[in-house]
Amino acid sequence: MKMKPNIFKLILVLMLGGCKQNYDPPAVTTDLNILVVDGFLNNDNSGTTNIRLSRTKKINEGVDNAGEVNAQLTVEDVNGNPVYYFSETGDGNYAISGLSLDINSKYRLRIATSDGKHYLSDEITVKYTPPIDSVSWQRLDNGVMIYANTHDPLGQTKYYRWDYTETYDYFSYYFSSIIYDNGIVRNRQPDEAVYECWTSNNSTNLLLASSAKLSTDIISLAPLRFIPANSIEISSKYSIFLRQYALTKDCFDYYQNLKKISEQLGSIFDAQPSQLSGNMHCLENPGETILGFVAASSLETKRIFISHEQVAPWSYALFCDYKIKVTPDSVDYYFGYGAYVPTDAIIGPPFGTVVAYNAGTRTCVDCRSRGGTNVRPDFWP
Amino acid sequence: MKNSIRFVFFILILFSVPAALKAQNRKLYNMNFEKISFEQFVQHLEINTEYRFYYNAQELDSLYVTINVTEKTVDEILDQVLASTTFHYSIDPRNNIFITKGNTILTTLPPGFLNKPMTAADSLRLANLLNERKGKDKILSSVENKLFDIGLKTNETGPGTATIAGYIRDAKTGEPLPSAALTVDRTTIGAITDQFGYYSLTLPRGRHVLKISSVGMRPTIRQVTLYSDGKLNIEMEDFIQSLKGVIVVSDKVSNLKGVQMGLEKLSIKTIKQMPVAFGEADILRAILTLPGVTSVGEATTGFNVRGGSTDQNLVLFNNATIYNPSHLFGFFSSFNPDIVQDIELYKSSIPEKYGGRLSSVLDVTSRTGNKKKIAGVGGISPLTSKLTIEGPIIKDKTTFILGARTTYSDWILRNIKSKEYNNSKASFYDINLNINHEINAKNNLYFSGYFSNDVFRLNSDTNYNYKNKNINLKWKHIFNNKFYGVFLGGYDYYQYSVESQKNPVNAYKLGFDVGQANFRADFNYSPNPKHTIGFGLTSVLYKLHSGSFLPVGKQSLVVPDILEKEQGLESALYIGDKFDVTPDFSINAGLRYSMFNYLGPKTVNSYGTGIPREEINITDSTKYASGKFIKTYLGPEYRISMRYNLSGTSSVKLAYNTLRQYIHLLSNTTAISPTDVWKLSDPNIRPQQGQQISLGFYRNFKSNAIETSVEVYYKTLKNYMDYKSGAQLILNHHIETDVVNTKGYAYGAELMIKKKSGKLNGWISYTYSRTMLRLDDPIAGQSINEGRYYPANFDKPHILNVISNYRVNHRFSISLDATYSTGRPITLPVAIYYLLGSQRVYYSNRNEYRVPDYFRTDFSMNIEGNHKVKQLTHNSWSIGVYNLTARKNAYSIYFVQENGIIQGYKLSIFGSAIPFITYNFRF
Repeated sequence: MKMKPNIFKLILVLMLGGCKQNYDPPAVTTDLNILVVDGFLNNDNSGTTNIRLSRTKKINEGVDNAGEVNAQLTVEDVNGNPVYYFSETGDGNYAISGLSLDINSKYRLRIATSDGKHYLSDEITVKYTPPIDSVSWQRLDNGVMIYANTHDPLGQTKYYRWDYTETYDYFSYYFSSIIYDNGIVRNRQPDEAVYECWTSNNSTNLLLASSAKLSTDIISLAPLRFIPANSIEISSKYSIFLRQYALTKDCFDYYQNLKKISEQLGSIFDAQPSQLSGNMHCLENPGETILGFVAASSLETKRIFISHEQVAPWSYALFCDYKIKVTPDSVDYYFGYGAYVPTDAIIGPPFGTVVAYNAGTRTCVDCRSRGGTNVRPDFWP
Repeated sequence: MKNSIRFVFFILILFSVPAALKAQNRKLYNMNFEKISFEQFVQHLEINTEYRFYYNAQELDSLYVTINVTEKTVDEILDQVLASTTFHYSIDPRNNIFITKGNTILTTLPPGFLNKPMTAADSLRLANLLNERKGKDKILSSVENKLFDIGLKTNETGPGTATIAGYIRDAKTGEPLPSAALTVDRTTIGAITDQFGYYSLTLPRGRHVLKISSVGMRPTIRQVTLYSDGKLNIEMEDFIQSLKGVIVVSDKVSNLKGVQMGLEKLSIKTIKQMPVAFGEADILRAILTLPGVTSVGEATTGFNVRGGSTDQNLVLFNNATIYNPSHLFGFFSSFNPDIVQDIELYKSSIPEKYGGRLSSVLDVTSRTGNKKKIAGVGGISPLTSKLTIEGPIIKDKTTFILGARTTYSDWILRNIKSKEYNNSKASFYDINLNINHEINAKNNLYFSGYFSNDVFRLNSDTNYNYKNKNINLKWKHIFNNKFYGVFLGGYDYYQYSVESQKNPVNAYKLGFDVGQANFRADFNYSPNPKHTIGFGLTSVLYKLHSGSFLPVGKQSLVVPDILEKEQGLESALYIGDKFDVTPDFSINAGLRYSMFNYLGPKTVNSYGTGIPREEINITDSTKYASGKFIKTYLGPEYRISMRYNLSGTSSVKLAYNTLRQYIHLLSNTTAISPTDVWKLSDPNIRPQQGQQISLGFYRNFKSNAIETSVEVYYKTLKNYMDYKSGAQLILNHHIETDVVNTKGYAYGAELMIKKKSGKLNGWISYTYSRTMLRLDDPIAGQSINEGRYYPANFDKPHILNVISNYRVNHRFSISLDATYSTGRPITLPVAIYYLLGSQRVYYSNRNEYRVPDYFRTDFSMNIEGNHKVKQLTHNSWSIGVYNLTARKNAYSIYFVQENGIIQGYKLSIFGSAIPFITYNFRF
């Protein structure tokens, strides 16, 4: 249920002149260096739990190299006895495999940082995540909308979060059978094919839904992802891998607020940005802010595919110039810097030798230049 | 009596007994002078005869008299002396001789004054005379020259005082004129008409000249002889521009002489001159140009007066409380400008008859309809069109005015090429109906009805709808000239709903409504010229359906969730006296005793004392029966203001008042949003309280054509509503756990220079103001800015407004307005981090930064059609440009993540210059 209408858009229309411009924030001099705990306890004994510790940075610095290293993470039972130890995997990442938490019990996460401080979470309820019923989608006039559907027959879940990884393949404009390699042009090996590529992205928006206001614990058509019509994503085949997490109400509220202040601003009726406190506390300094909310639940996943034919008409087009012809004495000039990539050789009389190479621009020939990889994912059919 | 002005002659003439013009005196004189001055000549005559001379010495100082006559009458002597000059003389029966240049003084009245039929000769003479006066002041001057006898005529007026009362009306339409000012020549006694155009004025018996002025009307005078209590109805002419030599001076000196402080009045004429986006005259936009009034940004619903929040303004439309005074999310105010007569904004000394809100009272009065004939006005602008019809139902007894306004923004949205908006719609309409009925001279009935409706949907399947419905009936009874009462019964209602049926499983309808039944009785008693006493009682019964969430359709799984309704009764008794202690010192002291009862049926939670108010800290939950008084809050409110005249052109005023508010708008958005709900005070939510002290200095220049004022104020606020982080305001069964009490103070200085008359008119106002809030409530559980003071959302220290209008000629005027203000405070992120798949930002202290300063200029031209009296419609055009400099003023600055990266944006609502054209017509 979305309470705040996207009035900004309408106003744009009414004004025919309203606008938003990029804005660079004033330089902030103090580095707050607040601890951020990102991750959840994955109660799936075949899966891995990853928790990343990082520190906030100044607003114009970006979030790179913010990982908090050399910390000790443990999962404790209600009596304060450590039951699991995390191992550090670099850049502030800490991992543990095969967590098996008792759903009827409660746990705490303890963090000891290298600066000698100790952080302890509130008691964490371990939630059971019901299976995803389906990932459905709908072809709309202006694109494709993908939805999640799930339900909990026991009616105990009520609060849900999803994230996803999407993968799609796409093709080059020109097929290339040859490759320029250190001054010579030769045939491509199978692992050097650049005609089909795959791109994967992770979701960035917080995807939340609740059935708290419904009589049955059902989530129907919770919107996940909108793909604008004729975009590259469904130019061939598209796949979405959805992960579903059950949340406690507190965790849901925390995420909901985070969504509000980081994704839903920009209307006339914006809420005052405000920060909710998470469930981690510093033992030495109880007033210290810690960002993030540590939850525990099992994980449910589902993958679906959408192919170009299913959403037709869908006319993604890449515009490419005609091929050029490169004589063998000019290959270094054309192919050496990578602006052009050879596609095939023109064999001419009288001796059946190569008289020239057809070539296209890199974007039109090498699909990797458009961001993807030419390694076919395992799950790709 | 030299240098007498013509005006005084007329008064003298009015005293005279009718007689023939000349040659009625047969006494004969001898005279022999050689080149004596006219003055010496007069002295001689005055010594030797019983005549008295009245003339302008300067005009005659160059006239020398040489005369040699025997046995001539005075007439013959004067005929001879003045024969070769341009001077004329006339003699009245009391042997006064008037020497005038050019025209002869009539020493008798036109016979029409004496209710005798005029002879043909008389009327011809009068006509010639009036022609000579080039048609000036044709009709009213004769009324102005007439001496009205008030009360039972006796040969002596006697000692003591008597009261005149009556209505002031527009001569053309018969509509009453509220807020017209009456002043009595050479005294400080005065009166202002009430909303019905009624006045009551107690004066010493005897001769007086009353000066009457009203905004947009030609000032007039009435000469009265007051014998005993009586009635005088006054009609005023509409001021049709630029008759040469007439200066419009309306409300002259009322700024000095009124005891009220911080009272701003705008006539609809002024408002209509101001350029606005989309060309639709807008009351709420206009009041934002007044000192001390701000808002968080353009195109927002609310306004903030002297540091108060938006829900602390009582918006009254013909005494009906308007809960949501805007259309289209704040782009238009809900008042049809063709219906409105004038507006008054009380921001400092709020009269004791008003209460229930902390910051201000915005009193919008509508017109009552043309008494003489059916007439109409209408207008077409790019987004709206409107039509108003008015006229008599029973001639001179009953009038009506019916206005309606609608928008075609829906149509515009449909025609936008982008598919994105084809599924959007936004529309509104409003309807006003007023009926006035005069039962007899002492009893009047006034009916007022208002209905507004807004619907919008924004490229989604969620429909928003809100409605205002107001109805009331007033009965005014005049007990006697000194005492009258107004009784009002009415019902005000506001409702909104949000509905979505896109997904049948989740299809819902969210609703909220607030209704209030009003009763009030207001009495006005003017026992003598020094006292005007107002007293009365008011009672408001509130009924709120605080929220309901219901399934729509058979498939919907939504569980009906209905908050318990709440009820409250707000009552008040008030009395106030305006006491003119001396002609220069007046005091207005008022006391309002207000009481609020929170009524059952209701379940009320109790919380442990001194601990954070959380759901887990509920200690008890009590069910109260229907009609039970669950909690009573009561207390006095003081309203005191005083004025001291330093001189005829300057005065100083001081005011102090306290106020209480029992109903609150729950809103944690920067601007009021269409889904905000109202909440009554209850055992857990205390009434908001405020007090304000203000001091002002007023000085007029150029015979009151230019008014200047400086006002300073300091104000404290208690139990101001604020909200916990992540507060849930809609459908919250225990809202008190999400609400915290904030303290605040505000102070400021307001400077204003106003020129109301002349070709160039307008005002310049500068305001310096601060509003600081602080949250240190232990039950909040969590504080804002570590419990330190922080600026409120609408804290804009410097605001400068320039409103100017230049009247080129009768039919063409141009307006240029400019406004500058400090940018409003905003909360900016102070750190960035990565969480849950994206960059996020961390906000720390509230309102530590500001958006860039705001500056805007608007321009408009108002073109009137020809002024022929007889034509089908009178047309006028308004053409202009809003935001002339096309400055992209920031409404807000915000940070959102896009594809995992944080990006900052500056949002402007009006990003370019917006031209507009409006066509208005009258018939």
